[in-house]
Amino acid sequence: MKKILMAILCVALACGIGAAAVGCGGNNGGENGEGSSAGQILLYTREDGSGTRDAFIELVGLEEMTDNAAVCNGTNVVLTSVGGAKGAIGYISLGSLNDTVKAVKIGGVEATAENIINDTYKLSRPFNVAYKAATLESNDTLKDFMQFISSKEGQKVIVDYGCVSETEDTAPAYVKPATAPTSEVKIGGSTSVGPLMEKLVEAYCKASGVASTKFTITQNGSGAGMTGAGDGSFDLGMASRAVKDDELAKGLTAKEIALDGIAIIVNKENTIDNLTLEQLKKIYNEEYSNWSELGA
Amino acid sequence: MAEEAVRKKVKGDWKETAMKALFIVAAAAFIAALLVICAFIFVQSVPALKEVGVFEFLFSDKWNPGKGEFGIATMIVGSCYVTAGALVIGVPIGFLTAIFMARYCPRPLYRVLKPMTNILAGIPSIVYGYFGLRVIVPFIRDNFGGYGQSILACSIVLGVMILPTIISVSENSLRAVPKSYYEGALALGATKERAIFCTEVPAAKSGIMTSIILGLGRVIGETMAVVMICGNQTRFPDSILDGVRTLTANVVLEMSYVEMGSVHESALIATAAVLFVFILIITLLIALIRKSSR
Repeated sequence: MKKILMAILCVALACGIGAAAVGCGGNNGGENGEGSSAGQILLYTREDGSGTRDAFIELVGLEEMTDNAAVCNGTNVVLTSVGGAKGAIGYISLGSLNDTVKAVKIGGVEATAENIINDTYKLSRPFNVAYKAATLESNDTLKDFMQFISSKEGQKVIVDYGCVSETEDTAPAYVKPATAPTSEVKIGGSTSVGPLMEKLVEAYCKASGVASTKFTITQNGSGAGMTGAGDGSFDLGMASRAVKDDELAKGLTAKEIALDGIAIIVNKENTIDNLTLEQLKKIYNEEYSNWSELGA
Repeated sequence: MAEEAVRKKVKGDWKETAMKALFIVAAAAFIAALLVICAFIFVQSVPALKEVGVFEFLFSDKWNPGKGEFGIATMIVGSCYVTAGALVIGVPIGFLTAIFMARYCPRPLYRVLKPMTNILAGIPSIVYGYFGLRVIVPFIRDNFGGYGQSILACSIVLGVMILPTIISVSENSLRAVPKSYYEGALALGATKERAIFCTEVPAAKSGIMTSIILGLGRVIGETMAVVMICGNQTRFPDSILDGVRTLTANVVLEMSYVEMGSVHESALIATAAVLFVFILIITLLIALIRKSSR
């Protein structure tokens, strides 16, 4: 009796899985049969809390991210997924773009550093840091570090990282102070700016001779960074967005250190190479489901 | 002479007490670790459960931390699907391989096969995840359609992942069955297959069940491999080609972004608490099954 039950259970399971697989295969066959080269649009997004995701949603003007988009836990996973799936679309920081995928133009404008600087490429966001004027005066390391960021050497780190610098050619060279500063600096905020800040701190420590143990970097989001800089728990806050007026009202001084672009990427086999912001919005709102509707 | 014997005994006693203390300390450390982790998980998850409500938290399918919506129903379903799928794939293969290795495998082949299962067990889960992302996911996408990051992809990768556990535990329990069972069955005229499947396998039942449960535990708690290949969508899947988000994936995806002490952080820990309760229930069920089978 027991054995018969088990056998029935196994057969039922096998049938269920078979039916599900066949059912999906059938559906998909129909969609592919509509005669497009890339077929069904596959949406890829980043996880909730990611700075890139927040910036993408804000810049494109989405109300919210659809539940049907596959969530990737890192830029690398987005790149691998989009690079392998014909109908895929995703977004990454411009600095992470490589030739396994194709970046589409937005409104006919290519995603390049020049186009971000002259403000024709719309999907860009500033990387900001903010501090209190009093903290800057009392903390000699922070003061020197801020000078380093604005210097030619600092801006070079930013460009090497993959961000866009508006002042790389005009910035003055960094001058090492006569006596090395001794204060400790606590930095906190955006997870998007964090990795860049680590590179900046590393380069600064090499250039100035300050021990890297003087710096602590906490990555807990733009909002937390601004709050922390306001209440004094951080000496320097990082934000991957513009600093808001109510944050400035708390006595913060904001400084833009770099610009970062968001590249919209598709598979290399996809024939589409230009999208308008409106189309992009509709793609992520699932008003389009097939690339053929976009003329690919 | 007598004096010396007494001294020896005292010395022995001293050692004995010291060792006893050592054993107690070891056991206490283990119990303390368990209790501290339990207490941490449950205390930290209270704020979220209070804010959201236990019922809402468990049965709402809306997960949207930015808007204060915390419902993990889709993830509970996701974890169950992935676990069931992995067992459907892993258990038959593992079980039959174990029988092959215990009773059919020629010696020279066994010497190669055994280390191979150990190698499989030693591969880090992130490597399984990357393998899944680069091999299994494209394969499913090209042959069945959809995103590729799906329940099916997870089931295949996790099914392979639990093979070493199932094979080695089942094989050991099959080998532990007294030879007389097999010989007795042959003497009564059974074929080799009948002798193995009808006498040895039932005798090794509890060991085989244990191997499946250990595999189940590994599947439901697996994180790094799953998060790369399950798609992480927070909605109910319609087919095994749809992506899901598992409980573990939810925690690891968002943990690095939460603010300390926020409801969001608490909700993620509460997700872990639900997983913890799941594993408790499974352990209890096993204890019950074993008790009733005895």
